[in-house]
Amino acid sequence: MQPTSSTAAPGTDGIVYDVVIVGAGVSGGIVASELAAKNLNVLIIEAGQPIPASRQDYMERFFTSPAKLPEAPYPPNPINADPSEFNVGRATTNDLANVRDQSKSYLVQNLGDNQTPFTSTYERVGGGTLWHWLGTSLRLLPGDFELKSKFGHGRDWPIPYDSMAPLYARAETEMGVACTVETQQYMDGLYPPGYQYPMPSIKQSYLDKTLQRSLAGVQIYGEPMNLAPTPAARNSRPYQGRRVCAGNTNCIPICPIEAKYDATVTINKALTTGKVTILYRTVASRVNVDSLDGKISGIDYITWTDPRGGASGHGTAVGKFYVLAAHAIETPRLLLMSADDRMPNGVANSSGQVGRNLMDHPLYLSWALMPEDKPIYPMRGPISTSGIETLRDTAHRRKWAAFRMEIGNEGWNFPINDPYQTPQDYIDGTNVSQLNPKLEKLHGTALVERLNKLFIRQFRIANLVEEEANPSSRVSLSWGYQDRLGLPRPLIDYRLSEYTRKGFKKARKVNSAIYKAVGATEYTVTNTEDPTYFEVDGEGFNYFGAGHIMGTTVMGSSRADSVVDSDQRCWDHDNLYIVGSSTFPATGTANPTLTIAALSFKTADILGKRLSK
Amino acid sequence: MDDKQSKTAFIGLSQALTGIAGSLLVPQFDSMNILQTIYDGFVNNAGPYAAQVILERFVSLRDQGLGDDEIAGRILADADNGPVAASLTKLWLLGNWYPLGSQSNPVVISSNAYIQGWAWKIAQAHPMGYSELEPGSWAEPPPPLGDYITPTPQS
Ligand SMILES: Cc1cc2nc3c(=O)[nH]c(=O)nc-3n(C[C@H](O)[C@H](O)[C@H](O)COP(=O)(O)OP(=O)(O)OC[C@H]3O[C@@H](n4cnc5c(N)ncnc54)[C@H](O)[C@@H]3O)c2cc1C
Repeated sequence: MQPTSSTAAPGTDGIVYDVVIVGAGVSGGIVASELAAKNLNVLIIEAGQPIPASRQDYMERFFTSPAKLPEAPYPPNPINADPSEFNVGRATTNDLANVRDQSKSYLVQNLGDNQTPFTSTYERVGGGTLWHWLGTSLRLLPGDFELKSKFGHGRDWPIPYDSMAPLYARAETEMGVACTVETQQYMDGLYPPGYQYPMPSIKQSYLDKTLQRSLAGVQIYGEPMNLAPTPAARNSRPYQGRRVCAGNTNCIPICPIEAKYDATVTINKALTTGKVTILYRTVASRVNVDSLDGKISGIDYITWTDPRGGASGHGTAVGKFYVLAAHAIETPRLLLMSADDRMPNGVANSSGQVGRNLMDHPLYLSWALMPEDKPIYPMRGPISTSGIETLRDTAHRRKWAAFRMEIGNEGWNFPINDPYQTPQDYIDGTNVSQLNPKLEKLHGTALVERLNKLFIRQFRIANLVEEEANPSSRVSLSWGYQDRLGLPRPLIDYRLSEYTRKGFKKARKVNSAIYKAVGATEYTVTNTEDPTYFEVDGEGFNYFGAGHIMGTTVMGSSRADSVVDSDQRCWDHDNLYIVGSSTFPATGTANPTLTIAALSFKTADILGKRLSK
Repeated sequence: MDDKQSKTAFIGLSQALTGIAGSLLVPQFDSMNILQTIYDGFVNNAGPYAAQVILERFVSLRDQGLGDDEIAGRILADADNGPVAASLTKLWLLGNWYPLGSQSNPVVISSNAYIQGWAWKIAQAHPMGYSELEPGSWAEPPPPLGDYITPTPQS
């Protein structure tokens, strides 16, 4: 679609904001809140529906949804719907069952030439994807910033860990990260002396403690298999007026009591200043560049009222500075959509890197059953309370990708959708779960007892494997497939590098060794028919998305090969910034949001300074 | 059968299939209105005719003096009633109605049916997204299964 004319709509008419932000997620929210606190005028353009007055609206959608997928609570319901019918599409886990079918999958996935699908998802509603994050808030590790120079893979960050440490502290305060510093012993020098998180760690689960005991003294690849309580933005004591985590085992898809931080906390804080305006149901569609000075002169947007009804209006938001915070698929999409005769490759793209280096933490999932005399009683507590972090920054990274191991408290919910599958197997006499090999059909007390015996021993490990930047994994535009607003949908090219594949191989080895050490029986299966299937050294694997979309507008030290500088300012446009994990040049193995938040503080500081001049 | 008789038979049948005492499935003070929720979910989805057939079959077996285990076994072996009984068992455990003979495309009866699903108690846990347990209780083993599900009284 060609740009709409620039008549200003109500809400932005004639106003020049200090800063215009695209996207009301955590990254945009932090920038808005910091600038509003400095008395600056901020406009946020948000594509999705408003934050509901009560999260009970979303809880009800969750409870009554047949598949309790991450996207289940959030509008619009994408199941069995054609993404071309929605004004505001998004990648969902439901799409992944239909990756080859563009009438079902919002992302148009190019699976030719041995490419595999990109399997991470996001939300487009007020508050963004943090609605259904798990809350894991680990810091990146020092070596993550030097992947190229130290280990010979991918790219380096243009900044060292040391410059991040104070920003991490601010992010941890904002998000309310629960962690006792002494538990994070896998790496020296992460914290300044005496550093304390805002609250102590959340209690480890009975599963964690059981594994910890059995793994005492076990070393694999030269590293101890220690379980550390995971730093998480979930309250271990009341914080910012929010309640203590009650262990609803539902961080994904929604915390029923907001004991888990989400972006609405920061956005609401920003709104109470009276300095922030949010326009919901307002989709940024084009970034305009002044032909004289190369600065951004405005952002065109399209408004809508009915989710399937197409455009209801349009306008242009004008500010002194602009911040794109639409997450790592929609931000590059917007820049690429803004191409014109002068900039045929899109805005901010003189390096040609916009949309490239698409990365995730591809996830290797394994699962096992504890022995009968060692039940661990899952499906209680937060979805994960511990991880094994010791293989995240070792010399092995020269040869294989680092990974972290997240221990799950939700039984086999992730691998086989229990507690739904095993009961059906024992009622119908089937064996999808692999737990009913004799195809028994049970009823009455025998059924209850059998199910109990199996449920209370289930656990899984999710391994988040590092990726290295690869320019041919990318987001571009699919002009053949559009959304209801006529905007081209994201076209994805993606494949796992040899480095990452080797990481999968090691992750499997380590997981299997752990199961052996604790006496558990492993049930992990690989599906050769799944589009994520790949092989390394003749061994087959599947992967899942971690929801960690990174790298599509990378940060670097040279304008020749990166999109933003270390302040997250676009090299090509002095008043345009990008916040969010699209700026990450290397993924490390820390879940990204804490780093996103830390860098959003950095960019907000710089904007504050520039605006005070 | 009138409505009251049907519901009584429904509770008896449900107990036989699930092994969970009728007085637990439907508590005396049914403040969540679970009986009506599950009963309606059952009749609406199985269809009134199939519902009537299976309840009458239950009553006739019970009137022959058979115990729960025997009754459930026979009903599950019936060509017509078997799949209905299987879906009803799933409904109590999972809060979803699965089309007869199928493990996909379930109908969620209501948020209440989800929350009251017995699979969570069988796991000595709580429904994901609905916990009334103490913060931190996940660090210790839960109370024994018998605290969640008292064994079926032998009839
Ligand atoms: C299942 C799952 C679990 C996760 N768990 C964790 C975890 O434990 N730890 C962790 O660190 N991270 C986790 N993540 C990742 C985390 O959710 C993201 O890193 C984070 O939400 C990114 O924040 P953001 O503000 O950059 O983007 P978002 O939160 O996605 O917000 C972007 C906003 O921009 C809006 N927008 C998009 N396009 C436009 C447009 N054209 N115009 C206007 N507005 C637009 C969107 O509607 C949205 O509100 C998880 C993700 C998933 C999917």
